[in-house]
Amino acid sequence: MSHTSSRPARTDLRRGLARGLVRGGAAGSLLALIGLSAGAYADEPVGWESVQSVSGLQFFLVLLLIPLGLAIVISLVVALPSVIRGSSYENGEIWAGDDEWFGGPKDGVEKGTDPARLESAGEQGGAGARY
Amino acid sequence: MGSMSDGFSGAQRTVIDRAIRAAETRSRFEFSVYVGELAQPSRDTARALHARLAAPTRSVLVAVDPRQRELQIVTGADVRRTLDDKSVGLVATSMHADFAAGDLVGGLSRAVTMLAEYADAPEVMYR
Repeated sequence: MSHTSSRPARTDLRRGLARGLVRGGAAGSLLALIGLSAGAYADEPVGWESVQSVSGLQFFLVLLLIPLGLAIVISLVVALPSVIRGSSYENGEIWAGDDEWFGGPKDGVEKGTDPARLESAGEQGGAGARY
Repeated sequence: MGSMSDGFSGAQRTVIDRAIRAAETRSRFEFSVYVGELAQPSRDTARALHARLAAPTRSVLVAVDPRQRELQIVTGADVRRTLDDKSVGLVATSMHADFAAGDLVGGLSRAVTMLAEYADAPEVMYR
């Protein structure tokens, strides 16, 4: 009976020791990595040009004014054709456009009426209304 | 009164063009839509415009004067065989309602579609 009761206690001790070693190893590795990365700092190479300091005005010009100016110019280029053309008809508005004839003759309404053609058109029908 | 505006936009022209093409395919007649000034008497002006089409006897003209708030539908002699004046009057009434509500493009495209439907009615061959 005494043999059977002492074995599990020894096994638990080994497991605890192993866990402690693994945890310690992991923490040590992490610390070693941090230590290595901290050591990556280096001085500026001698051959490199020294970086000039940027003033606040230059920063403002390059990062804000130039992009903003470009955005305004692009917006104007996009919107200009429709501004020149004028607004198109919207429902409920008063019609101010030129005469339009869908499926009409190529010379449109400029040519006027021709009595001879009216004669040859035969008996016309249809309906009309005011609204 | 609403604000002033220029002519139709490209999208609005496309809506009207499509309605005309569909109507012509369905009815085998020619359809034409005029939007602009109709000199008085407007009926005579619309008839003169219709006479200027390539094949007036086989054509339907829908003419609207948005400033004078007047509309005219003119049908050719061949079209009248299937599209009688009573049916055209019904379409004119429908257009009247659309235009009074300010829907010019919708009213025109619906009118063309309705006229094609009436014109597409099967002809009675035997009585």
